[in-house]
Amino acid sequence: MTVDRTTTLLGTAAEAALAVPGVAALQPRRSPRTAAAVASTGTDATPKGTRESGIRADRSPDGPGWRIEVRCILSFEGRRALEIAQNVHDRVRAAVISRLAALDAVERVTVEVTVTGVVTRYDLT
Amino acid sequence: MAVDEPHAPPPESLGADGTGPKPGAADVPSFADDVVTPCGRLLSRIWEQARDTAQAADPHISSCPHCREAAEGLSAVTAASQALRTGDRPGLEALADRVMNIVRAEVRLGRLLPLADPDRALRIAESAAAKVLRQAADRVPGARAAACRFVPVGDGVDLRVTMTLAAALDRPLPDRIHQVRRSVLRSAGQDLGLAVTAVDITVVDVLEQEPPCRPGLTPGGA
Repeated sequence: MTVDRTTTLLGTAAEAALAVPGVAALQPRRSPRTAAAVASTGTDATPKGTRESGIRADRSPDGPGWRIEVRCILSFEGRRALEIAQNVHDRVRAAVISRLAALDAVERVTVEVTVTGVVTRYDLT
Repeated sequence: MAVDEPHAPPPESLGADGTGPKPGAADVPSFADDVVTPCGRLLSRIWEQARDTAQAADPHISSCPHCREAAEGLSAVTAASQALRTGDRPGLEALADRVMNIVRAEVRLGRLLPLADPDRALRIAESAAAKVLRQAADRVPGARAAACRFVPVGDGVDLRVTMTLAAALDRPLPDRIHQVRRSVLRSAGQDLGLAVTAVDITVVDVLEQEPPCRPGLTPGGA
């Protein structure tokens, strides 16, 4: 079903991003966190959201295709943030294209990666 | 999910598989910033349906995860606004705290800076980059970074860093600043992958050096 495909893309992108060495976590976007905060009745001051809430998937504004945005937190000892982000970009794009192809939908996919936080060895000492 | 920032609807409406009209292709935005969900529905339409139970139920909205999530989010907003009207103070304050924590976290991220790859859309939050470069400055003995800011240079990925720091006066300041600049430039390139073209450093305070330990004494006391 069409709508299931869209949901699948979020999960596919999240899984691909989290598999990249140096990615510590995905950073939930403002909207799902706010929605979770509004819906929450508990004492958790900052509801976190699901791993998919670190991914945004939109139809491309300039024509057919998908625009995927990934927000991630890195733990980059021994690797450059740039290389981790490149890796996330390429793996997410490949995974989404592959998933779309498996669903008989060949479409253009653009990926944006935003590093929102870093964990260094100095944070752990 | 994709319902946070307003986007104009795509000029050509396609299904999620990109091969045909999507379910909400007939939707026309009722206002300029109306949001389109990944499945192609307008958020305003989803909200109308969620609020107006007298309307004939749209089978797409009840089965689509995007529409359902949007409707649930809007229901939560409705519940919160009802709480506001009834004046439930404890609930209200907790809600305000939760929302403000999220707003503060977003503001703390700062601007998004381009990583040094003009061919891919890769960015890093200013706060994350500044943290790494401040740590690089702090690794120079007798220096402690304070503020760290970035200024774009031109239209590409080049950046200029401006940093303030406290420095000890046991050595000439120019030498120490030179060391800090080298450490920051090295970290920007090797740890982050930022194209930093210059580092402007201003010493704004004097760093008090800890007195050397006398033999037999620990730094903490007797």
